[in-house]
Amino acid sequence: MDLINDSELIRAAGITYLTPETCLIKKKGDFLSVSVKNNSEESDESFVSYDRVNLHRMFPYDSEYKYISVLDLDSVEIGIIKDVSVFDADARELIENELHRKYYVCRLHRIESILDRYGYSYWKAESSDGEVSFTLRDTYSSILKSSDGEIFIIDIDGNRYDLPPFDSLDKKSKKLIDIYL
Amino acid sequence: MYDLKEITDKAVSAGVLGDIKVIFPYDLSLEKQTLLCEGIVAATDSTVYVIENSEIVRTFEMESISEFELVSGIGCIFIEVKRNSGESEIMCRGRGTFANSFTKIIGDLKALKNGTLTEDVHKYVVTGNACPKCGRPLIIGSDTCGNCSDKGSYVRRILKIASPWKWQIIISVLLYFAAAFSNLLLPFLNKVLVDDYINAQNPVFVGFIGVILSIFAANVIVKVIVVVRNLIVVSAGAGILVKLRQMTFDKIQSLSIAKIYDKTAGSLIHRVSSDTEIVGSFITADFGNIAQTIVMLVTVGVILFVYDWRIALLVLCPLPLILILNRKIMQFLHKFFRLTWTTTSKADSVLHDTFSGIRVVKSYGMEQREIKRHDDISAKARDVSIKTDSFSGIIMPVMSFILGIGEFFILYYVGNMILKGRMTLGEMSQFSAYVSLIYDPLRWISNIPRIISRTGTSAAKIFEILDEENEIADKEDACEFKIDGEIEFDDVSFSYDPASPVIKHLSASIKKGEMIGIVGRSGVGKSTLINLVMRMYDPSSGSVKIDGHDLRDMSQTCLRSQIGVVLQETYLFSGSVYDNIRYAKPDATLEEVISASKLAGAHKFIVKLPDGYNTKVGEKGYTLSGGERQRVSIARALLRDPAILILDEATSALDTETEKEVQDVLYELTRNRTTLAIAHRLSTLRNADRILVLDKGTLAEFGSHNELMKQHGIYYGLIMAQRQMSRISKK
Repeated sequence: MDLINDSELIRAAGITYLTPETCLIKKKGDFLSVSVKNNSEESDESFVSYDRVNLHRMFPYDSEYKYISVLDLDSVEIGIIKDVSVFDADARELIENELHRKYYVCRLHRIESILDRYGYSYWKAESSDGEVSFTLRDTYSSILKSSDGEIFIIDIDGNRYDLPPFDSLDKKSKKLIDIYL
Repeated sequence: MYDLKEITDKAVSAGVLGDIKVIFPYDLSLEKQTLLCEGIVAATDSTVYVIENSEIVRTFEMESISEFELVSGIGCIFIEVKRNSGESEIMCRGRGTFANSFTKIIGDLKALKNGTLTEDVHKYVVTGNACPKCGRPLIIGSDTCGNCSDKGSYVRRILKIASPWKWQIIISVLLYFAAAFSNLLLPFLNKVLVDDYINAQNPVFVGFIGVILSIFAANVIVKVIVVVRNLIVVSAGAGILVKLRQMTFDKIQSLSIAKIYDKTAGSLIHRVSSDTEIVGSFITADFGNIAQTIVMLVTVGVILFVYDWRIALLVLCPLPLILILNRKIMQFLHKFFRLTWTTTSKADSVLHDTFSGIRVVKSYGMEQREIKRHDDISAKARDVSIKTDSFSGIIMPVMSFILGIGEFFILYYVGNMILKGRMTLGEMSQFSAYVSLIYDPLRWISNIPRIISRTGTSAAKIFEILDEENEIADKEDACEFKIDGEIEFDDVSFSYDPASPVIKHLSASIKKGEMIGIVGRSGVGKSTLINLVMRMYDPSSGSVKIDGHDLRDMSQTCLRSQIGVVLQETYLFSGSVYDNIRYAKPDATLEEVISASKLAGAHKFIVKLPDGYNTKVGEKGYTLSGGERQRVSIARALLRDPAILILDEATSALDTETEKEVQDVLYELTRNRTTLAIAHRLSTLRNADRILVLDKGTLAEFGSHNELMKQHGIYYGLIMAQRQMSRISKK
């Protein structure tokens, strides 16, 4: 058998990409609802509607608004939004708000202090929400770096923080965080 | 931290009417998704009010609510309200820190709705989990702040553990003191030798010999003390080390599987081996050394000050500089040591990955990529190591030199005194010896912070395990009885994560001797259900009963000794085939082991092995095939003659022919024995009396094969799908 090439692979996977042409995004109550153009020959309906959908970032550390999986309430994928920016302003706002509600990431500006004590590490930092303090159990696995150098931190309670790339940090933050990266 | 009175006052001033029964704060705005807010939820008997920044933003009539649900986001958690109409709405949102509190709150809200919330229990629920002293977040499940924890309590607890060896420890510390004092005697004898005999006009020969003998005796006494002390330290140290290891290992064994899975195998091994050794060595060696150092410093310091305070000051003048430098250097070195640790850990991970996945590496021809990955991380480790070692190599001799500066002052001062005739040669010799005696502990004292810090870290890691609360502990009056095999799930719910329940309100009764097949999609909760029967976990609500007894009232040893388990992944320990089968029943006779093997269909291949039942298996042992390993595993389960047999995908890793053989064996064994069998290949459940179908954690269908086929439900769908697959593969 010949090696399958990329386009054949993509065709074989049969992924549904959701675009402004193929789907309609609306707000229903507190949640997002999606109507997707029906390509099935079995149904006469031109759109299939989902009253409540969940959005999930497929590459949360690499891209905030690209490759968003749209899932129904049983976590079955309806389709993928490849790039949120192709939608009109209203739909984009709905998608972005929904993502911001599901993902709470505290944006840190600078690190004030890090104290390692008995296997735990206590951090104090300045964030967009003011001064925050949090605890990490294992700095080795709790600190991650995205492909563009952004730094992500997950604390013992599952709270998430992000920090600008190392090079753009102030001198003190660099000095403090250097050994953990 | 949240003040209960303050949030209650705020709720009232925002307009909450009625008697508040449940009140709690939340911190993420519903209106502006990215912002923190000052949110309060206050519930009365009739209404739930949601207040954000002093304004009521939502209200829910209690009558219109059918359910409160916890939903997890990423980095945050929600409480959702399900209306009687079926529609859901968000009630509040909090950061991950609120997860545990929200779980308890939901329980209280449900109780309030059902009218079962008692006045004296949890009238108010307030979240916020910070150390009252330093304000740093507390570790979940712990009331001790790692930052403020009393290090003294660690020392007290360590000494308590070492109490059976207290006399050895006391004697060894006394011997440290004795050795120190004997060392102090030698410079005095040297002085007498030089001034009264070597440098004297008319020395008395007998006295001269006497002094020589005294120096000899003092040296012998010091060495004897050191030998005796070493012997005591070795014996006490080994005892304490074994006790610490036993305590830690025993505690880990007694912990629930959830607590054990919470930590990596590597970290548990590290605690049992390295951390116990560090703490043991502190009690026996470091503790005495520190005591000896302090005694030596104080005693020699006093002698020097009494003799001549000016010389004493000269000796001690570099000390403050040394201590300041030492602190700075330690901070600097800590950074390098940490970098070394991180890079070597990464290098180890690369090695582990590559060797574990060597078949994948070879199959994809990725050897060069792996070589580059290893070379890169090794180069990084080398660079860090060069930096660390170069720094130490330069700074340590410099430190030593600075410490020795005092000696030059003393040389000048003492030489001057001798030239002026104010000091004898003997006194100079005595003085130089005391100076040497004080410099050694001064040099060593810089190690004390490192030793205490290292021991503190290891002690904390050990006590973290020893203090771990075992939520699956036996009750004091836990009952023991011979199991008949009746199992009942009574409204069982279970969740690993509060926001994602795995089993929801499951009720089912299984009769003695029945074979029950458990089917459903992956991740639907099948293995969790059998883990609940084995009491690896306790249900979040409801109960699992065997012969009418709640598992929480039963002794775990009694329960598990009457359950036989065959898993998909068979694990053979290092040892012989015989050892592996007998693992389930260490007192089994040879006849019992052979009979179990024969019933499991293992005997016929074991007798063909070169060393029969003595053949070594497991790591570095004889390699058994998948079917053979599975038969050994079945024999192990059978040896117990279990009242309940659990088969978790027991034959799914086998080829069709072997699976058929093993299935036939299992069929014989499951007769008249309560059996719970999980299988994806439904044909393997053809002998099941009833099938329990799980769907999204709930009991979707429960009945015989024929009954379920007539229902045309999930089971019917699964059977049809598998028949279709089998037809396609035959074509």
